[in-house]
Amino acid sequence: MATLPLPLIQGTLDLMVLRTLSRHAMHGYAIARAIHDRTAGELAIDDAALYQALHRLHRLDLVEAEWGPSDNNRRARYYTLTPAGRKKLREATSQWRRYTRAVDAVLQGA
Amino acid sequence: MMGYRYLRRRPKTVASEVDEELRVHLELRIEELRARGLSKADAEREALRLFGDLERTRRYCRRQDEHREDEVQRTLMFQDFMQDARIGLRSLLRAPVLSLTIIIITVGLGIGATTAIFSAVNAALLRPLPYAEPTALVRIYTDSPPFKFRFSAADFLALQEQQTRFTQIAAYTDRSMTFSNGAIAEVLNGRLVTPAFFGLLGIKPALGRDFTEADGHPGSPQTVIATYEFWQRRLGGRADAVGTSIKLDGADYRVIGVLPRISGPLERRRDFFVALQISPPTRKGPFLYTTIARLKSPQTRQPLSTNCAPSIAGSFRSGNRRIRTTKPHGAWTT
Repeated sequence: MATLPLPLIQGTLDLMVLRTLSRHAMHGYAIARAIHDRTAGELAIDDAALYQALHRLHRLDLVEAEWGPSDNNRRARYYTLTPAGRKKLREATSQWRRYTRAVDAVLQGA
Repeated sequence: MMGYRYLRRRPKTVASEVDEELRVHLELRIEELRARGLSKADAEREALRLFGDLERTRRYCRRQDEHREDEVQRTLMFQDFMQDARIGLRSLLRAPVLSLTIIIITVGLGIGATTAIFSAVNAALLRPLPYAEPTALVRIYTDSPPFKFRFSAADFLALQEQQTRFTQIAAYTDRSMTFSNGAIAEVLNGRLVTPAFFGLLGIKPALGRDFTEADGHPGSPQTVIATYEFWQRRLGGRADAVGTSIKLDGADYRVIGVLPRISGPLERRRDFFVALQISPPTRKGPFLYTTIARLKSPQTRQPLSTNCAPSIAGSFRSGNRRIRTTKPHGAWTT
C-alpha cells in the first residue's frame, strides 16, 4: 500500500525552497518540515539536498542568511528571499506551470 | 588603495558556521523523533539516515559559502578601487595641466609605436617621479589595433638601431630567479634590463657603477645591480659586496652596483637588476620586452607633434608605408 516517494526532478527543489521562504524567514529545519508537510511526503527530499540548495541559493544572492534565536534558545540560521530571489521565484514558477501544462496536454490524450 | 576596510571572514569561520547549522538541524530532528517515541540511539540513527550524505553536504556548503565570501570581497574591493579612482581623478584635475598630458601616438607599421608620458601615469599615483626630467620619459608599445604589445627582441634591436626621435631607449622584462648563497635559496624578483635602463631614467647607483654597453654583449660576464633593500638584506649592507659574485639560478653574476634607497615605479618590488644580453634573435617573438624611451625635449603642454609619428615610422623599418596617427589621447583630462 505504501508507495515509494518520487525522485526529485532536477531544479524543482530550488523552486520549492524559494516558494517556502516567500512568506517569512525560516531556518533549514523548518523549511524541511514545511516542504515535507505540503508534499505529504510524496517527494524524496533528503535534508542533504535541502541544505545544499540553501547554500547554493545564498551564493547566488537569491536568499539572505542571518543567525537568530530559534524556538528553544538555539542559534539557527534564518533564510529570507532577496529581491532577486523573489524575481527568480516568479519566473521559475511561471516556467514550471508552462512546462507541466505542456506535458499534461500530451499526456491527456494517452 | 586604502587598504582593507572590510574584514574577511576566514574559511575557518565559514566552516564552523556550516557545522553549527547542520548540528542544530540534527538536534531538532532528533528531538522530533524522540517526541514520537524513539529511543535516543534510534533517534540519532534515524536523523542521520534522513539527512543523507552529511560529509558531502558539509563540504558542498562550505565551498559555496567560501565562494560567496570571495565574491563579496571582490565587490567591496572593486568599490574601494572606484572610490580611490574618483579621488585620484579629482586630484588630477587640480594638478597643473602639464603633468596631465597623455599622449598616444599610433604609427602604423606591422609595428607602430604607442607612447605614453610617464609622469602622467604616475600623477595618478600622486607621487613625483624620482627620475630626471620625467616629462620626457615615455613608454612605447607596438601597435596593432586594438592591441598594444610589448616588443620582441628583434623589434627592440631594430628600433634601437633605426630610431632618431628619442635620445635613448631601453627595454626590460621581469624574471623570478633563485638566489642562493650556500646557506639559503630563495626565489626573488629580478628584472632584466638593457644597459641604458638606469642612465635613461637618470638613476645613478649609490655604490659601484651603472651597466655599460659591454655588460649587454652576449658572452660578457653576467652583471647585476642590487636594490638597496636586497643589498641590506642579503649582501650584508657592506660596501665590499660590490665586486663580489652571487649565484642566481645557479650561475655567477658579478655585483657591480647598489641602487639608491629611493625608488620609483620602475624599480619597486624588484630585488635586483640583471644586465640583459640579447643574442641576435632567430625569430620574431616572443614579445617580452617593455620598452621605455626618453624624448629629445621634455614635453610641453603640446602633445607630441603629429609629425613625429611619421618620423618614428619613417626611421623604423622602411618599406611599410601605412602610417596612422591618432589624436592625442586625453583619457584622464576629460
